[in-house]
Amino acid sequence: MKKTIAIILCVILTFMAVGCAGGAPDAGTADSDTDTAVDEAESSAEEVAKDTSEDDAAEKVEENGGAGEVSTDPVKLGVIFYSKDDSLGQLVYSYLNYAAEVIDNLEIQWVFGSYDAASQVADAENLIAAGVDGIMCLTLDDLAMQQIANLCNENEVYFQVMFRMPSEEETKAILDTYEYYVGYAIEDTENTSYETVRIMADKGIQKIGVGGNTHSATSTLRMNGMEKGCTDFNIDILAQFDLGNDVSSVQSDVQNILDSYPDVEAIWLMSGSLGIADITVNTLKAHQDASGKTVGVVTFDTFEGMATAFEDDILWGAVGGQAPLCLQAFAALYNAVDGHPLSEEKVGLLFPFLVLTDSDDLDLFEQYYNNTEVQIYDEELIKSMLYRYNPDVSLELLKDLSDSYSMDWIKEEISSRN
Amino acid sequence: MKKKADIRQFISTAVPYIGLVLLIIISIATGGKSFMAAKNLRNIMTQSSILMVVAVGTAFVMAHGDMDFANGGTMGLAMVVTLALCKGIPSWAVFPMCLAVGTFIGVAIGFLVTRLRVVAFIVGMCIMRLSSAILYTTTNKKTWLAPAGVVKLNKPWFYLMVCLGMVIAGIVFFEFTKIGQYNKLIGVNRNAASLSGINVNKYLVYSFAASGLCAGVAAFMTTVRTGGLSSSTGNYEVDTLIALTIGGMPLTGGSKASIRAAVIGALALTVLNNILVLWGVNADFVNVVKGMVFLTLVLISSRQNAGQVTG
Amino acid sequence: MENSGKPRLIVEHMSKNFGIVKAVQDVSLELYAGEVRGLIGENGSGKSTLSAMICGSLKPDEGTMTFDGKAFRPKSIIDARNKGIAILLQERGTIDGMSVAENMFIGMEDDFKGRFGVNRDKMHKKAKEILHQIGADHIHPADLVNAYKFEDRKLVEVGRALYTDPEILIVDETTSALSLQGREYIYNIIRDFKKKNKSVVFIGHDLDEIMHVCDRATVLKDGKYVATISGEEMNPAKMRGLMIGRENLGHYYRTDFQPDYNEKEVVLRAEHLNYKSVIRDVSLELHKQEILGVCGLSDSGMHDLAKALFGAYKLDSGTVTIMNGQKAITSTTQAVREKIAYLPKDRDSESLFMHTSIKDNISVTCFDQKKIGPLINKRHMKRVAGQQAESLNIRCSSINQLAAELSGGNKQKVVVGKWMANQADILIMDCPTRGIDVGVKAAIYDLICQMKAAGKSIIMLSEEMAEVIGMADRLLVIKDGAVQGEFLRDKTLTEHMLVEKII
Repeated sequence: MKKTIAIILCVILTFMAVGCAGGAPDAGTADSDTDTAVDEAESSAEEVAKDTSEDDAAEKVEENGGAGEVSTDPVKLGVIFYSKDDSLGQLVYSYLNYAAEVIDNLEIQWVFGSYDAASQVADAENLIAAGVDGIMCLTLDDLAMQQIANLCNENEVYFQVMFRMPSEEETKAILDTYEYYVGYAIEDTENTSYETVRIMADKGIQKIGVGGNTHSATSTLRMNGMEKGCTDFNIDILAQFDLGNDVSSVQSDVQNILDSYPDVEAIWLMSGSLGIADITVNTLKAHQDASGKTVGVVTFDTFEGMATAFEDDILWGAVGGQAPLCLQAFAALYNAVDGHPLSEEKVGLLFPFLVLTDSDDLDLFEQYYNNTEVQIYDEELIKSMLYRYNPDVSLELLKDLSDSYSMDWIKEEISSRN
Repeated sequence: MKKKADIRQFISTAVPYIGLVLLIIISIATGGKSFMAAKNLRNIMTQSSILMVVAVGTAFVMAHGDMDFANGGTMGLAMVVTLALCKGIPSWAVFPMCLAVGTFIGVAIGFLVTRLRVVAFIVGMCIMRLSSAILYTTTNKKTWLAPAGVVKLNKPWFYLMVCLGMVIAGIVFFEFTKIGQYNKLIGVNRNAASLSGINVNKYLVYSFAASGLCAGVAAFMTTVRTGGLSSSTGNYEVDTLIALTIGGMPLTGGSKASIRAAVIGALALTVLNNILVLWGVNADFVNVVKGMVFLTLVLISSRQNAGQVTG
Repeated sequence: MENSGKPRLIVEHMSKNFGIVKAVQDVSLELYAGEVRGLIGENGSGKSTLSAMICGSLKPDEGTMTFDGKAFRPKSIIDARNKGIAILLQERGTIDGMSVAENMFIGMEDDFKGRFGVNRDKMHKKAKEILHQIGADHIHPADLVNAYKFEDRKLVEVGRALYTDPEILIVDETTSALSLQGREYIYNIIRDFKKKNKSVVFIGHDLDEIMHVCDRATVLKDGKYVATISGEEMNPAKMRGLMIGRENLGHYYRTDFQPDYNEKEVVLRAEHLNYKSVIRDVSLELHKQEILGVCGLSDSGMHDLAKALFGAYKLDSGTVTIMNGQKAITSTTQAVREKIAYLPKDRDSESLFMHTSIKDNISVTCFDQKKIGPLINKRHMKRVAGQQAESLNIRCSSINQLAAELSGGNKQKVVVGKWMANQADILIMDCPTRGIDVGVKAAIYDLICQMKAAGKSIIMLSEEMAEVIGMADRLLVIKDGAVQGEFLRDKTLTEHMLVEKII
């Protein structure tokens, strides 16, 4: 009996070995099947392209008469994201699913929960095997970016990076050589960081403590923007503490700064997630109660206790609201898959943050942004970014959209809908 | 009665096989062409290979009943040290370097456990923390790329060859040398092993060395696969434990420990991951399924152990 | 008062296991009215467990009790007390932080219910009355019990036991903690019980005291009932003999009565061994073809000595040397390499791999035999295991059967097989027949004789004096970790001669 099982197992292993040996695309029937599928998708995309470029008249008809003549071949996109449970993940999940709902030929397949480069590569492999036409990914680092880009290129699947960008020139150069790499979309981190320092400067602050590190490309950008701001606005950084893996030390770090530098006027935090901002606010609140002196916080990320922190005048600025970025990234990828890339070049999209400075900002933010029921980009806006519905779409249009993105714009946009 | 016991024993050995075969049958039935596509089978093989190699090493430690939480950390450290030195060494030397560093860390863990009587689990946790701290500080400014000669190996046959080699070596060392056999006996009854003339400490060190060596190999494979060193390297602790448990490795070690568990478990876990993506099921569901599968298997294996104590 | 009349309490087939430890096995006894029954046995013989089951603090696994013709199944100590059986505990049974009176009436507070909770005055009055009865007027009911010394606290317990006016009182080694005066209190109470035609179970270590207090004595050993004796038979020597245990197994042992070994050839020498305070300056020599008997009580240090000789301990001082090659034994690995075998007293936890096949159990010593290059020879190991199982006549379905499924005797044979497979020359056998039934015992003795004949040397340690006398060429008596005496094999050697040295 054991032997029978062993034989079965051998058969399975042989299958795998065959799969391995048959490296060339023309080997094996199953292989050619998938290839045909890819070919078909490709050729149909080409057809669409041909249709539109060759026949201007037809294009005009299409423009006027709606989507009637456009290919209805389904577009399947894979999204690799670390989680859908934190606030960013929830919104991205909601926005992209909404897009899939309103666009008739779009299907989105999600993969969550990978926290290292090798697992992300495996996720991409599995998505490609599942037959996706394009992959969007919040890549964990440059290596994952390179490997997935390479993988996608080999399999003729489009690849879009979101919320990240190549942090090194080398990586960028490698990515640029891949035909199927569409580009990246990332938050306008450095400028936003600079702006947060302005908030403090406007209050006349001159001495601050800083919590942060340069462990990743993103955190380096945040720190750079802050440092530039401090130089420009003549703000002294009295002390700096690390926001490493361990959140538990934040309380004592902040307390130490308060004790050692009685003249400190504000704390700037590179990150407020995982309770860092809450802990800091609580520590400063205790300090305020005890000494009557207010030390303010300016922080990246939004958090639970913002409302009371604004009321107590401890929180001066919080940064968030970048989730719609995923829709711009999506637009770039979808257009590429559809055969109408936004640009011949690789596209680098910058998307602004929202900076909240008082309770009114927060109210709007909670009402419109921090609410998966509300789609900031509605069907009309999403479709306007896609060639399939709006052949006039251009990179400038996306740029204009992101430039206008602000708390007031959101309010106006949403109130104009009814 | 004897027959019954035999059947029970047979079933308990067969459960992991049956599970894997069922999983594959279900996958073929539901995933159809896209599952059986040569490309996808290659994916499964590549994806399972690293986990399998790590699990083979961990099997030696689990045979004597310790939890090995050091493998991911060892991988990270092996990569850091090797890539830090690799500017000065030719690319062919990267592989032996990874091996040497991994084995060295394994031996060090072994000494900590046997001489200083630190619980293996705790040592593993420390290595894990240490490794992630070092990875953070070393990769924050610049990604470390592996030498071109190493990256060139990123082909399915490479993973297949290394993985096959390690599994075969694992079986030989586990079944046909004292390293594996003694560790199993230590897992059954450490006292009796010692009083039967087995140098328990020595063979515990060997088992940690084996685990470290395999982590070193896995570190090399990861370097090939990701093309360099990233701060997120080596999240293998939990996956390895799950894979081995699914494969039928008793958590307390002992005579039922086997390399088979590593192979079956790594394959099953990878196939499960793969087919869930192919199905395109809701991402929440994926984690629920994984959790359920794991829980079920742990229940079965603990039930088996309970049966043994009274039987 | 002898076996006349109806028994008041009948205990039938009581058993209690703690995990694998069989604390009490199938014990039955009958207690008559007006009887003071002694309950004796060594430490761990099960007397406290038995009394705990009678007084309701432990639930028996098996067995029934009948008290005055009715089934008796106490749910707790308090329940048993209410039904008429009370106990004086071996350990301290009072609760600190409560007053003397509260301690005395714990669980009986309802008796003193006043309009507003417990009526303390009433409680204290009653307590004073009882304490007066037992002559302990110096104890004040309102004081915290912590304020009194151990002996007085015991008296509080006595008071508690007597308050319910029990029909049967169990005194569990209470007197050993008391001074002469304290004991007299207890003796008076016991006499009083007897006078009222009530019964007492008296548990104790002091055999003279048992003789003095009890009418009859029941002996337990290893959780089993041994005998109940009365009158003439109740002398310390007899009781001691029963407690330590001896069965008439004369015909199992060697039939020759001459020491028979090669005096000139020493194979193992231990010099001035010291280990913690368990082994004290022990030196011994083992000769070729000798059976060296070592006997003593369980806590005499002889089991540690066995381990020390096998290299399992890091000794404080002293050396164990194997004479063939003059090598010092410092580890078990080396001991095995030098063909020393060790059969521990606690087979299951120290020698056997329980959920592992007989084959693997036997072949554990053979990994280095007939290797194929660097690899172990599994076929050879299997063959060796098969040979041993056959020649030792191990009863099993196959050598793939798990060791855990075997009986004690067959387990021991597996352990013997393991060492025979390594061709051991020196065997250290610690209680080789412990927990083995009579038939297999004989086989083991036979085996020992065969090994001796085959030129092997054996150290046989045992708590059963009869078997050591029956088997050994030379005999060492161990007490408190030191050698107390040496005897040569002789027909006239009796257990009493050893007992004097042992106890």
